[in-house]
Amino acid sequence: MGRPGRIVSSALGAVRALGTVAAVWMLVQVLPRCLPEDPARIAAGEWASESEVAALRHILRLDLPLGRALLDSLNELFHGSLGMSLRFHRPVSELLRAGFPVSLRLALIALALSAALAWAMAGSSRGPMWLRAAAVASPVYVAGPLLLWAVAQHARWIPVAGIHGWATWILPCLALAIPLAGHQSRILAVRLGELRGSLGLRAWEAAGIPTSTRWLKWLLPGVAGPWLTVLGLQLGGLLGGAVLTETIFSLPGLGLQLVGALSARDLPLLQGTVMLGAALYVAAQWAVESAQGFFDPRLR
Amino acid sequence: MKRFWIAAALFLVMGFALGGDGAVDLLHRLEGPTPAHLFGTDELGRDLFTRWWLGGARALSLAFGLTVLHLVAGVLGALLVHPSPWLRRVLLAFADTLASIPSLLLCLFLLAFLRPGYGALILALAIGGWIPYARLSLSQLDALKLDPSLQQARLMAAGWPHLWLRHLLPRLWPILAAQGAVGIGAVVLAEGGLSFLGLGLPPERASWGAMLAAGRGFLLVSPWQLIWPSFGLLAMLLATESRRSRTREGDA
Repeated sequence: MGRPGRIVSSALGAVRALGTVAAVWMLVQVLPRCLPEDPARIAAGEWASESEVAALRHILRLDLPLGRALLDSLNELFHGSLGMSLRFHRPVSELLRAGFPVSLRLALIALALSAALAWAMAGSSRGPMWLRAAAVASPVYVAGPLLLWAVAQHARWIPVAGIHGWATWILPCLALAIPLAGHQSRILAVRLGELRGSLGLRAWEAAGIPTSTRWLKWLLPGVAGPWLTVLGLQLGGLLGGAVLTETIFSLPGLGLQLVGALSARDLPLLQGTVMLGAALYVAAQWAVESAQGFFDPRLR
Repeated sequence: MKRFWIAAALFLVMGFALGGDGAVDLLHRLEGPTPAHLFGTDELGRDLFTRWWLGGARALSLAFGLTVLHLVAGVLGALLVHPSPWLRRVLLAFADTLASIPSLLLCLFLLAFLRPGYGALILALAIGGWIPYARLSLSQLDALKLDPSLQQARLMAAGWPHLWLRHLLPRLWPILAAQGAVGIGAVVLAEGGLSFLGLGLPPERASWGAMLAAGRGFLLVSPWQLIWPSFGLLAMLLATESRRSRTREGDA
């Protein structure tokens, strides 16, 4: 298949991605109804009267039959509205837009940092096995507090909470990047090992082709596919990691907002955030799928 | 492999034998390790040693239980839907939709409207956990479709219990067991994250995630509440991780 094929398949992928987002939106409308307790009652609080609960049921569309409620909410989604937050009385989309830049910056810096760390760990082939394993085994909520502890004692110029200049981003991004780097470097190390042992590369080596060419033409393209796959999965899941990171370092992003929405039982804001998380995941998947063909001619 | 199971069983026995939620003792708050409290005490004066053991044992038993649940649900789902291409497609579409929500977000969404406790935690973690097992089983079942021995058994009019137990499950098992090794670590990780956010078990129940979250507030006074669970999580994840790489090598 030539170029048009790739464009068509990429467009099909985009359509499928939009379908998935719509499906997630319907899922988050249906799920609260399936739970053993009435979401409106929980959202209204313990001391709410029956009429208050009934009003909330109306706002949350829990009084409508399921099909009708789904159609209404889909209609709303197509008009670009995600409903009103119960707690802030502002449109959910506006709140999400407010929190998004912080989370995006956190995610992108962390991902770039994790890529650099992963290559550093995978580049030297045998040495840091235990380092990789330790990185995989330190989730954000372990790495974060430990980093805080180290910094609070020794490097007081690094802020540990809130946003104060560029130094703010050092700790959260590092904490978030460590486990990501561990997973990436494991894939990289395995794949690099396979490629280094391949006959073709050894033939190139014997023919005296310079190291830089070997890297550019053989090793990098060979590694790019699996690495991109992992990178895409991680990028898509970063909103989950952001919840923990932003809680630990008090960064006012989507994650912290979600935790706030959770304790206030703000169902529309929760639904909006979950859908945004799914949308980011699908978008990352789609981007990676489209980029894969660039590196791997078999996929074109 | 065997060593892993022995270590895990030993840890569970020790955990439930030595562990306890600890009694509040406000006169001995935030102490370092002493002979009376080997690991020190937390901000309410509860003994960290017993809480550490119990928290770890809870995480591990929950991880084992949930992994079994995920595995059984995934395999059963796959076995039930795979004869019908239409049902199969529906299941995969549903799985894709669920899997596109980052798992922590899905858990948080559900836990917002559930009463905290074991039931809520299991429900929240189980709703997305079966997916990898179902996907793996489905692709494996597809690969087995043209298998001669299976076709022979079908021609000899073998009933489904025989087919499932003697032909399909033994061949699904290796790949599922490898995924299960990954799954145990994933559940430990997820449970830790949820209890770190205060959405796991109720606060009086010891758990590593909650200990980390509480220890964060007393970093400079007494880091012990941070150190022990960090060490525990690191060791537990390393153990599942090393087991995973070993099964991976075994496959190849």
